[in-house]
Amino acid sequence: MPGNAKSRINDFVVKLANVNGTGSASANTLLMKAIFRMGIPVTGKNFFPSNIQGLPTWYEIRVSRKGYLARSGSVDIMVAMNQATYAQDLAEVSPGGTLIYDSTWPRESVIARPDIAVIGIPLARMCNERFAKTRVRILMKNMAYVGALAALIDIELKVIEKLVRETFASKQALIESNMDAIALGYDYAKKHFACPLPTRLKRLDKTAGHIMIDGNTAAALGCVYAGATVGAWYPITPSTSLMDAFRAFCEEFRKDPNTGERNFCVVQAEDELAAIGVVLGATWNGARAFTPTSGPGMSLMNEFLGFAYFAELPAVVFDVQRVGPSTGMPTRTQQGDILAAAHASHGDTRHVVLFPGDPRECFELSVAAFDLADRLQTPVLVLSDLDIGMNDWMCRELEWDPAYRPDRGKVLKPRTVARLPGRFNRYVDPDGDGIAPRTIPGGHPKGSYFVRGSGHNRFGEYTEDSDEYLEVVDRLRRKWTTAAKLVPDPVIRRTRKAGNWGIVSVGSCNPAVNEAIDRLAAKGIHLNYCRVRAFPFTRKVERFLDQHDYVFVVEQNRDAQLKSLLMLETSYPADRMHSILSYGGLPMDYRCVVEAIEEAYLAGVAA
Amino acid sequence: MSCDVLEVDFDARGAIASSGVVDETTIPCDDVVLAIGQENAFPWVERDIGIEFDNWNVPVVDPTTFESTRKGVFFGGDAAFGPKNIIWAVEHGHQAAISIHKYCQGANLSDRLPRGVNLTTAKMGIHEWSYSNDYDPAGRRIMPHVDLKKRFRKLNIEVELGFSAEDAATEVERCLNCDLQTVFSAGLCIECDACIDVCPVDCLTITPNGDQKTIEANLKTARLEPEQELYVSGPLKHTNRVMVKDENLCVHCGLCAERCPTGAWDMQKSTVVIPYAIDEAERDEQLCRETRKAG
Repeated sequence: MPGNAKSRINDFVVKLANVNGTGSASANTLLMKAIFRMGIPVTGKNFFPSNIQGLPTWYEIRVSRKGYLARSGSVDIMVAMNQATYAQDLAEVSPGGTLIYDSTWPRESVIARPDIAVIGIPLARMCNERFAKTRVRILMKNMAYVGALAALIDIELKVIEKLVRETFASKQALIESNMDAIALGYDYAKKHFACPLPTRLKRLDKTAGHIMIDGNTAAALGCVYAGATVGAWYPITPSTSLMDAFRAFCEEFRKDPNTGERNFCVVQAEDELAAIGVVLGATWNGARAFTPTSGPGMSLMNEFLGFAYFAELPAVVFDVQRVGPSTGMPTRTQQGDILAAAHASHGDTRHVVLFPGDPRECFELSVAAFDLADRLQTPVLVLSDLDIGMNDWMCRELEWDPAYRPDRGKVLKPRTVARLPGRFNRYVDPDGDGIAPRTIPGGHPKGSYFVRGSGHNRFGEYTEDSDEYLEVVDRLRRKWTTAAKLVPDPVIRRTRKAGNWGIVSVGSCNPAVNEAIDRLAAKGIHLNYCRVRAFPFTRKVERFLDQHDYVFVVEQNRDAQLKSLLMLETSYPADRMHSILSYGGLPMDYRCVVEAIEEAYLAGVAA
Repeated sequence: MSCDVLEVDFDARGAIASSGVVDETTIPCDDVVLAIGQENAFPWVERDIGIEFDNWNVPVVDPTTFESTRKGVFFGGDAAFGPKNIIWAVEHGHQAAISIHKYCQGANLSDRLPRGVNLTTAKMGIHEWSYSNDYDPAGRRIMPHVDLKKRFRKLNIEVELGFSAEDAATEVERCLNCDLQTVFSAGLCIECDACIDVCPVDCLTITPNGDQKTIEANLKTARLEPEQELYVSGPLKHTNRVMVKDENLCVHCGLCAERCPTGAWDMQKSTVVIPYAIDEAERDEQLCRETRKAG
């Protein structure tokens, strides 16, 4: 067997090339979870097509004893199960790596490279002989390669078996067939190859206190904990699983145990504009409501987002970003909606935007979003992305403070309204923070008012009078200043050795940036790092910028949208910001950050 | 080369009765290789040992067992049924070996293992097959030969030079994969018509069941070989109609199986099973084991 026999323990990438619609996702997730349960830090990225069946799909599992969760950009073991992508998959394997393929059709002439080892396992043949039904054969082929990998990289079989038993707890027959398929691959690999490979796993204890969770599930859980009772939506990849999870949690936790009555409402509207309409109706009536969507849905919601901004209605919108413009690449990741979210809708609108950096923050910022929306009486947009939303991330366990009470903001109780000396005026700010107390409809007749998107004065009456209009929109600007004090601060990572260079980044860039900082430090380049978590930018963001002579802005879009926003909203000079952009649709790898900064550093040192 | 043209008369037994030269003809040649044939002759077999000879003076041989009229004596190859080719000679050897094995075991020579066909699915995944089903309509590759003059200079030279790698690759892709059979499972069919729609030669039809005439009238394409039997499936579960296939038209492209959403059409590799002496021996051993276990 050719290749580099150097041992690589708990530090490598396994990539699985599959055909979409063959049930490979569950096998691949099982692999990743098994590694996690062996106490080894691991991350799994799913690159899937916008297609029901037939197009190529990949799953990339990175094992990192140091706990790095970004993509590494290289592949050590390729499981090539898609003959349509053999050439591409073969080319992608790092020198010294291994390629595993289904040798039911032996293809040594096609699948060969002198610098890697090629392992052929007749997976289809074994499954065809063992299982009778076509669909089962195709499904079990996936489990067979899980078995082969278990032998080749030393995944503990008892861990796999436990996972299989948990997954198919109610279906004994499925447990047996899955374990049979795993044994087929495992036994074949043990019999025909030197197992384990030099690149392999070894049990660690580095996952204690951590869970594997995807951002959409975590965000949905945040909605439940924040007390959201209404969700309205129109399905769109990659946000659909957020509503699926919310509904599943509610079915479990929000049903009256005695009557079986559902204490929640999920509305699938006819489109995204209707969905946010439902949300605004619900929040106006006092409920906590949200809608999950993605870029195209955000475009459709613009009209109502402007309405909610001007009429001052709370709402929470999750934009799980995908590749734009237009329909773009629906199943690929990007951070292309930053500017569109910040300035959604026409006229002078600016929206509060939160940027979770991992699923754990999806949970935390989801709760924060509902409080901010109520406190600021305005839509709050939570911008995650497909990478965070749909991939399983290893996160610290979610924490919850039982003392939490929702911040409903300035809401006048019917009793208070009744005791008001004069009439109730919807848009009068009593204390200068730009926020006017509101009432919930149906509380007290005195609290009623017109909600309008047209020009209104501080009493909520229609107006076209300049002064009256200015009073309202200038107060909204004051409210924006208040928002900047309430939204989450950035996460700042400082290094003692760092000079006056810094990195500013956002959202799912985080693992790549953190790994890049470590790798650059090993090369003597030390940088501080500020991860923005909200728009408007808080004082700490400005201060970080001011403390650094030169800042790299790392983000996943073509047009440097975060940098643009920093240019617009801070006084930091644009020519001292250098963009590092990754926008091809795949989750960011650390290499692009390391390379760009190293290059700039060398140029800087030379100058 | 100059040849005499003969006129020949045969008698009732088919032997030459008389012949005579009637003409002369000349065939232009570069060179002439003499290969004038051979004959079976058994002068060395005594005629009184129980081996019967027929009127062509060749031994009478049982076509199944290859045994002569004398127990324990077997014939094969040209010696058995007159001149045939080497492939037949190999087959005769196999059959005679089975007979000899059985003879030594004291078993009935005529009790032979059945021949058969094994079908195993070639499906590897949703659109993945364990053979190349992407038929290449390229013309037949011409095998390059050694130059004629060189061949005459050295008569035992190998004439065919072999294909280049490219030609070989093209030639194998022309394979129609006739060992792969289209196999239909009526129970899986949902009658979506996808196979009928995709078939490039319109050899498939779903039609109400009926007599041969009714079915033939409904075929998508008229039959070219009316003598060849049509494939008619069992009743389909939704409408009780039947799937009909004209095997004569089918080019084994596998598109029906590729497109079938339920796997009702499958491409299955057929392996012809011809038992050899070793299979007989294995069966004997197995029987032996079973008897011992039972005992």
